[in-house]
Order: sequence, then structure tokens, then C-alpha cells
Amino acid sequence: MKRFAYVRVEDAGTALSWAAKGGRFKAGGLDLLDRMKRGTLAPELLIDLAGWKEARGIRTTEEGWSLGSLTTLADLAESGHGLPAGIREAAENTATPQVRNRATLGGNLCQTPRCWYFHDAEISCAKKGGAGCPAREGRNEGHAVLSYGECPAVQGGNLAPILCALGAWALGREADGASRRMPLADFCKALETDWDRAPLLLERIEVPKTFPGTSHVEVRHRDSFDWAVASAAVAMRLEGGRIAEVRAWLGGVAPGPWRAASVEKDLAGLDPKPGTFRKAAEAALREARPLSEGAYKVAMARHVLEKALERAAARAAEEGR
Amino acid sequence: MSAAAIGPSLVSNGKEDGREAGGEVLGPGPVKIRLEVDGRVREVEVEPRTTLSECLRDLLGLTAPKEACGLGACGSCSVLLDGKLVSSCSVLALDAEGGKILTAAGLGTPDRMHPLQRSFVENDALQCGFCTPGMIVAAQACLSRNPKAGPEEIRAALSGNLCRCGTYTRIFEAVERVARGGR
Amino acid sequence: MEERRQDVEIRAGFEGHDRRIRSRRRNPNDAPPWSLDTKFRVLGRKHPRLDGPEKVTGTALYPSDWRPEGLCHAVILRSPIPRGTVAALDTAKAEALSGVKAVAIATRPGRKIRYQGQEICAIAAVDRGTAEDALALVEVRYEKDPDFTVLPEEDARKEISGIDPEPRDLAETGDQGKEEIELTLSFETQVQMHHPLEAHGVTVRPTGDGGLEVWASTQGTFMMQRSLAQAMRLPPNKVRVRTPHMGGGFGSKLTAGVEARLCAELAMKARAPVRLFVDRRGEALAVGNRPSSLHRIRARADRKGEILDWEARSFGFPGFAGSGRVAYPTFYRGVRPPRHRDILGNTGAGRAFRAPGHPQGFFAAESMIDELAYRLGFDPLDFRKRNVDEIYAWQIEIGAKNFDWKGRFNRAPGRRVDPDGRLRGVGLALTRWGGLGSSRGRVLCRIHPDGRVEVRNGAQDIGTGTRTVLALVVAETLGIDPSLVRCEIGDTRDGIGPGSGGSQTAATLAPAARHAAWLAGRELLDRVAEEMGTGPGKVALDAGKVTLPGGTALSWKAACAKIGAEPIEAMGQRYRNWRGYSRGVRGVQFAAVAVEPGTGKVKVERVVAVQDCGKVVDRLTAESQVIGGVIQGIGFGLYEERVVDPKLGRVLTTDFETYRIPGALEMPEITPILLDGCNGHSNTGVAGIGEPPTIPTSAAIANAVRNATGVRMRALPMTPRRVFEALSRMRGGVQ
Repeated sequence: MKRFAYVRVEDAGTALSWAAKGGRFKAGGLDLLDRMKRGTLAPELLIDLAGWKEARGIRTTEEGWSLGSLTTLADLAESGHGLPAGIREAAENTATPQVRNRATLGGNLCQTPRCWYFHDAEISCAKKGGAGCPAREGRNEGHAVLSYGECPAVQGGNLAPILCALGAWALGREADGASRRMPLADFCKALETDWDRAPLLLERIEVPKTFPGTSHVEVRHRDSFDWAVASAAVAMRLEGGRIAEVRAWLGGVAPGPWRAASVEKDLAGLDPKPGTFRKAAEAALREARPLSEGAYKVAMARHVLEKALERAAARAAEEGR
Repeated sequence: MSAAAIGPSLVSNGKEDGREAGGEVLGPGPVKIRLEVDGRVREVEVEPRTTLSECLRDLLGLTAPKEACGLGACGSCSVLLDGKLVSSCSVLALDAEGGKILTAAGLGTPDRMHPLQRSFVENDALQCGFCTPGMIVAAQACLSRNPKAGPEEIRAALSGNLCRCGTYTRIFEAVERVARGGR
Repeated sequence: MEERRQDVEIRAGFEGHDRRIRSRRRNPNDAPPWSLDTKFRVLGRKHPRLDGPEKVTGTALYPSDWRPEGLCHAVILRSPIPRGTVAALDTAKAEALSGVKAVAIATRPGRKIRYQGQEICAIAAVDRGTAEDALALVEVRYEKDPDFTVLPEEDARKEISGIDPEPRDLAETGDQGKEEIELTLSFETQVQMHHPLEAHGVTVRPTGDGGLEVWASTQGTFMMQRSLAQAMRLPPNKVRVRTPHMGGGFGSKLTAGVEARLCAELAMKARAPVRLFVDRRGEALAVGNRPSSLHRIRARADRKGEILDWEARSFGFPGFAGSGRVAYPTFYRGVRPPRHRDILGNTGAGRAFRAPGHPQGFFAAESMIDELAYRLGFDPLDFRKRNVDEIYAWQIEIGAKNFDWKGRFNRAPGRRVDPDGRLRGVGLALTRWGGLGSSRGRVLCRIHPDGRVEVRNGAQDIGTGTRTVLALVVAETLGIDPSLVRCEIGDTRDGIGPGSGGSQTAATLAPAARHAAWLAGRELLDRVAEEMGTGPGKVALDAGKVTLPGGTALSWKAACAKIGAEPIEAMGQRYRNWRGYSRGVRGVQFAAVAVEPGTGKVKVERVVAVQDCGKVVDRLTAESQVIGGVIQGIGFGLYEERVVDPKLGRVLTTDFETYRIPGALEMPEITPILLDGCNGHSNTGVAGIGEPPTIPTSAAIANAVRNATGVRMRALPMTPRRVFEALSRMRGGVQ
């Protein structure tokens, strides 16, 4: 790592003023230090957010839950706040116990997409100020199969899909200190265009209590410590035994969390029978455009989507009983 | 898998920020910090870029946490920081300022081993032994949460620690024996 | 000494499979050999390793832990290009940086670059950060040669694809029931990285006398000493190598690598101790690997289960240097070694890796044998038994019974879906290794007047428990409690020992330790006899006591108290091997797998590993080695793979995130079954066990996948993607 300075802050205002001077926010620091060690990032100042109390803790509210952006993944996985099952599953399936004890919700939402070309400082690519993308003609088993532009690196964070499915809101501060609330999906979308510039300094994530049935399902090569080949998060509500509302988002398949919008229409009003879900999952992946080695990822996205729909439906039905 | 800074940096609104920023800027250059390591208070000068594992190994001369991958992916440098299992190579020494650190050396000594350590020895839950201090610490984190952890829970708790000699099944047995209260 | 050069006849082999063998070349000075009739008091039982308490408390000092006063830290600059020339190299700015102590050049301007990761230079500085800062100031201009190859496999594939048409994935029905079949199949294995958790490296301290003290993470202290002395133009006795513990090597740490030579140069230039350990990325690029391989086998077999014809071609791809040769299980009647060719490329060089060439060749050949069995309608276990000797047949039966082969064998591969949606199946494969030891060993045994016994040898412990093995052999020979024995190893000032390669360490040193203890024991008796005035030949060592004429006896401590102030010291020799019962060790492994058809994920659920290793010294640590071999075999079979980009000529899997080593959640239940025997080739008959158990695992898993799914996997690792694609091809009949 290159040398840098370090400053501890306890409030958003101070954090923002340091950011205005070129500092970079650090929460758990896992992705950040990883990049700094690999040499793809060399900030001169780190702003340590650990002392920012407003961004800590999980609260239950009338409408649902308010999750501090500094909440660790371990706390999300093990919290006693009756968090939706899908959130817990997404958190506990992330990385290793060591990582989950440090990694934060905010960091997971903002983490750098995975690409073994990008994360090698010696390889030139458009995202590092070079030209073109070596993955397109190279080894791209892990790269995006959906809605990617010039760069097919995938967002690997587990929390974004389930939180987007639940219709979560991002609360935070703009650069001038103004508070702002925006749909988390919009926040994620903005990060897709520039990984290193977020529209907000994330303070809290608000999760509404709309969906009784939630799930997160993923496939990995290796169960210990691996990124998902594909993950699916589903939020579902039944009425009279039929699907009243459903949201399905995929992870690990696109530069950001990917909304399987066709599922919402295809399943509305249907009886949640297993066969139904397979058809909907297949339809959702019809627009996939894998690179040379990406076909397996498409198949796995289909697979996890079907499983996640099944699981969410079962949970929704249970809640309704 | 890993997580990033919150809002890596912000989209600027273009306005020049005239406010004075609060807080003390540390470094670049030496910064004095205080840590409690295995029950002993230590003061040490670090750089902001010094990782906790470099601080413990290079500056304080500890040998229990090892360093194998440097990227938080193998668990060899595991320590308990304020009771939580972390990879010390993925934490800055400054982040641990004022914290309590426990390594395998703080759990027991060759003459007075912790029950987990004794069980590792008796079950031969080690070969080259390089991953062992990290494994012990991860096992301790597991059993301090649930002293009666079952086989599944133990495997999950050790899933961030790699062993290249391939000793896992013996390690599970060693931890399970302690969890069962047996020897 | 009363012995003359004489023949000794002992009962050797295994109980029930024994025979009397004569050893004609026994050195008259050696200790008498153990036989099947020897009643062991210490050996063959489970003993916790002696250095366990230091290792579990983190107090064991590994070479990478040593931090002498005034230590400098060094880092290496590596080539980003796979092939070309260093056109210009300027380290002036780096050297000018405050805190930098020395620079050493590895590739001078004008010299060739043959792979990505090749060492360009190394810099030592007051701390690691400063050394890294200095590295960034080094100015190098590379002339890239666009004509590089990092995937020579492509050429080999082309070369053999014209030879024979190859069937697509084989359904389980196949040619069942024919009188005779001929089959041609090709197989591929990937590049596997060693990735010992302790990286390659040394800390070198210049000593006052112009020599070097080198704390080396090595699996060959004496080889490190010799090669480093040679590189630094020093006499070997000026280089003292110390390796009290080390964090794994698996074949890649036998001699002094470039990093050790650079570090020695830096230490001499800086006149200060310098520590240089390779980082994980360097481990993935430049310190060895198990080369990939490609095989094409044509075989003919008949309904009686006889292999009539076997013709194989193989290729190895060892990178820019090294050997990619492969070994086949030629103990099967009818199986012949392949015609082999290595093709070089512009990647890091291959190195010895735990049973070099064997897992590759055994995966191909054992898969082929298995497929012949299925196609002829045989149970693959029965087919194997028809083609091996009776010892193998016996071992297969032992394993089959423990594993419940008959109960688990899937008679409807690919069609039997369990209630959890998985396909289950079983497979087996055999293993073979030499590992009888060499004559490169001298062990010191010292009996102190207080009854403590000290054992010393200069070789290292790669993790197998060398200290414990030597101590137990000495305790057994003297008939005393192992707790009285202390063992010091890993310092080239002590007696010579082998590198830990070829499963040689225990097999080489155990006989030398026995010899040393035997000599020391005789000296003890002589001194006691003199002290007691009984005359020579009237006292004897029995079960840790010294028996005296007239039926009395002295305890061990009482006897040692009579030796006087000077300890007894004896240097044990390792004499050449005699003809033993067997020229190596055998084993068989059974694997049970569950395959998830929706994802292609293979989970190994159980492995039973039957293994012999001559005389078992410590059942506990020997079993650990078997378990470890199986687990590395699982890594090779299912997870580990170096991925390169052929256009850029670069390795993409340079960390533990992309290079997947099996972890806690990948583990099956593993049952080691050690067959204790007597091989009679040395005074102890101990044979090595490090390598043999990693040889058959990937083949057994592939055969189990075949039994579960009906699909013959022909490339390793069997990743979910490969298995899923193979299953889809078979289902859909399309590629």
C-alpha cells in the first residue's frame, strides 16, 4: 500500500468536509484495503467512519427496519430484530466469519465489482483508464451475462438484491451535507456507472415490512469462502393463496443488482405451484447475453431464481397461516 | 465477499468547500497507538498503512498470528479483536487503537494449554502447524459464542481458515471433543 | 562387535500375507532388523506429536517468524510480461530513497524474460512499506516478444485429435455384453499450485566470519545449504541453515530458489539481516506448480476382464522449465506406460509436487480402466481385482468391506435420484509409491546420566512429524518411555538428512535413529557392566531396564546414573536398503459422491483410504498424512485450477479468492486404514507415506461421479460448470 493519512470522524458533516478535500470513506475497509494492496487504488486520506454513531445499529420502526450503514454483516445475519429471512440468508452466505465481523452493510452495497482483470493492477482496461476490456475476448466465466455495457464486471455484493427486492430506501447525505432519501435501487444504479463515486454518503437503509415471504439463494463453486456464480433474492406477498405481489432481483450476473422484472408480471395472480416458477425463471433469463464462457452462469441464474421463488412462496404461505 | 468503504467517494456538487474539517489527521508518518495484546498493554508506533498483522508480527514480535495470503482470504492471521474474529491483515493497526487483542499465545502456553489447544495436540489436528494458531482462535470464537456448538456450526465457524496440509477432519474432531466436554 | 557380515532371515509382509525374506547385504555394524514377530511397545500406536504444544500456542518459531535485531525487509519486482527482454533497468531512484539498504538484480538488461512473474530485482529496506515504495521507483523498460505461448495444451490437443475419433460422453449402457471392446479416450488435468501457507523465503543474517545464518522455509535444509553456498560462492560449512519448523512445501521447497539467492545477496550488501518471503501472488507465479497434462489412451479388453492391449500417449506442460512427465499404474496387468512428450511454454516452471506425475497419470489410467469395466458389464471393483496381485486384491477387500462397496454401488447410474434430488455413486482407484528411503542420513543419540535421551538430526519437518518419528524409534529401540526422549532437528550443524521429497524422510532417518540408539544402548550396557564389574555380555536391555546377572535389574534411570559424568554419544548411520518384502507401498481409495444435477456440484461424502507404509511408527501422525493426501486430492479433483489468459499471457488466479483450495465446508468423512507391516528393507522397515495417499483420490472421485451420473468426466478439476455441461450434453445429446 502507498502511504496515506487517516482521520477519524464522528459525524457526517466532518466526514463530508474531509471528502471534499479528496479523502476516501472507510467503513469495514475490506474491499478498500484489498484494492489498495493490489495497487488499483491509492487514496491519500482515509476517513474512518467507525465513530459515526448515527450510522450504527438496527432499529425496528412502524414501517419496518432501519439498518445503520455501519452494521456488520455478522450483525445482520444474527440480529434478533426479526429481520426478513432473505436478509439474514444474504448476510450469512457472504464470505467468511472473519469478513462478516468487519464488513458493513454500506460497504457491501458499495463494493467494487469483481473482475480478475480489473483487480490486477498490471492489466490495462477501460475501468482503470486504459482502453477496451480484456475479459470480453478472454476468460469470462465469472463475468456479467445481463445488462452490461462496456464493462462486464459483476457486482458481487449479496445484500443489494434482497434489499432492492424489498423496496428499501437509502438515506444519506449529499456532498453539501443535505440529507436525501432515494430508492436503494437508484443508488445502486448510479454506482454502476462509476464504482468510485456514490450519489450519497450512506447513513441508513430503510426496509419496509411489505413482504412476508423473502429468500436469498445462491450457487457457489465452493461452499467455503467464494463468490456466488449467481444469486437470487425474492420478496413475495400472497393473497388468498395466490401471488399478490412479487419482486425478484439477481446478484452476481450484472454490473449491479439486476431486477427480473418479467417475473413480477408473469407470476401476478398465479397459484404458487413449483412448475410455475420454472417457467417464470426461464422467461426472466431469456434476455441474457453471456460472453464466451458465461452460459453456465445463465443456467445457474435460472436455477437460483426458481429456488428462491419457491422458498419465498413457502415462507409467504407460512406467514399467512 | 468483502465490503467497501461506504460511498467510496462522493459525486461532487462542484462547490468549493470552505468549511474547516474537524478531527485530527494522523500520518502519513509514525503514529503512536496503544493496544492490549494477550492481556498486556503495548504502545507502538505505526504508519497509518500498517496493518494489524504487520503491527503484531513486525513491530511487536508476535509469532502466533501468521501471515499467508495478505488479502484476508486464508485466516492464518486470525485474532480476536474485542472478542470478534478478524483477519488481522485486513484491519489497519489504527483501526484497532485501544482494542483488546487475543491470539493463540494468549489462550495458553505449552505448559498450560487451553483445552482447545490440548485437544488439537491429542487429536493431531495439525501438520505443518502454520494455520494452527488461526484455527485455534477461530475455534475459540465459535465456542465462546456457543460452548456446545455442533458439527455443522463448527465447520461453518472454521470456513474462513484454510489448511493446506489437509487436516480439517482432525480439526473438527478436536473442536467437537471440547464442545462435547470430553477429552 | 560380535556380529559378522551375515544373512538375517526375518518374517516380513503383513499378517496373513507374509513370507520369510533373507537380507544378504546387511551391514554387520547395523542394528538387527525388526520383523513381523517383533513385539513393539511404542511403535504402531497413537502418539501426539512432540512439538504440538509449541505449534498450537503459536510459540513454535517458523523461519518467517524470526526477527533478529536490525532486520531489514525485502520485496521482489517481477516481470509483468510473459516473454521478452529487459531493455533497460534503472534502480537509482529506488536506491536513493531514505530507508533503502540494498538492491539486488535478478534479470540484468539484455537478459530474457521467460514468464510472467520472473524476478527482475529485489530491494531491502528498513520496513516492508519502504521496500514497496522503493520498488515503485524502479524504472524498467521491457521489450515484449509477442510470440509467446501460455497454453501449449492447445497445440497438443490439435496434435492428437487427428489420431482417433473419440466417442462423446459415454452413457452407462455403452457396449455392455460384447465379447471384446476397444475404447479410445482422452483425459486432461490442470495446473495445480502448491501454495504452502508459509511462503517461500528466507531470513539471512551475515555472521562475523563471512558466513551466513539462514532461517529457511525449506523442505531440504542440506539442499538449501548446498545450493545457496554454491550460488554465493561460499564453502557449504559457511552457510548454516536453520529450519526448526516450516509451513508446508509439498515439493516446491527443495532447493534455494531465486528468492533465497537474492536475499543472501541483499544481506551481504546491507551487512544486516534481511528477510525476504514471497507474497501470495509470487507464490502463484514463480515458485513451481504441478504441470498440466493431456492423455490419449486406446485400450482393448475382453469379457473375461483381461486388458488385451493398451497404448497411450501423454503430454506434459511444465511451463518454461521443469518436467511434466506422468506415471501410470503399470502394476495392472496389461497397463503400459505412455509415450510422453513435454511441451514448454511461457509460464512459471513446474516443480516436484507431492507424487510428481502420479495424480495426473493415475486420473487418466484409472478412469480408463474404470470405463473398460463399465463397458464390459463388470463391477469396476471386480474388474480391478482380476488385473492386480493378491496384495492389492486383499487391500481392495479390506476397503470395500469398511466402505460397504456392495451396498453403495449404484446399479443405475444417472437414473437413481435420491429424495434430496442428488445422484449418488461410488468409485475406487489404486495407488503405488516407492518411498523406502535413501542412505543419506546420520542421526545422533545421546544418553545423559540423568536418563534423558537426546536425538539430533539436521533435516527438517515438513509437517509429517519427523521429531516424533525419531524420538519414538529411539524409545522403542532402548525400550524406554518416549517422554524421556527429546529430539532436535532442522539445523545443518547436525547430522545430514534427506530432503522431504519422495516420501523419504522417515524411511531414511528412522533406521539411522534406530542404529544410533542401538549403538548408544550397547555403550550403556558396556559402561554399566564395567561399573558393576560383571564383565561384558552379562547385562542386557529389556523393556527399559538393565538386567544384571542373578536376576536383578536396574531401572533406566539407575542404569544411566552409572555411566559417569560424560553422556553417551553415538552417531547412527543409514546403510543402503536391502531387498525387502516389497519395493514400495500400496493403497486403495474409495470415494462416495453426491452430484447435484441442477448445478453440477459434486460433494464428496466419504473417502476410505487403505494404505500400507511398512512399519507404522506413529499411527496418529501417519493417519494425518493419509487424510492430508486425500484432501489435497480432493482439491486437485474438484476445485483447484490455475487460469491463464492466452492473449495477455498472464495468470489470472493469483489469490485465494480465485484459486480455490478446499476449505472446511468441502470436507467428507475420511477414514484412513493403515496396514501395519514389516518391509524388511532396512533395520526398521519404515516406508514413506507422504505421497501415496494423494495419488488416487481424484481418480476415485471421477469414477464415483461416473457411477452416480453415467457421465465419464475427462478433465480436471470437475468444477460444477464442467459437470453441469457434461450432464447437459448427455441429457440433450448435443454439444
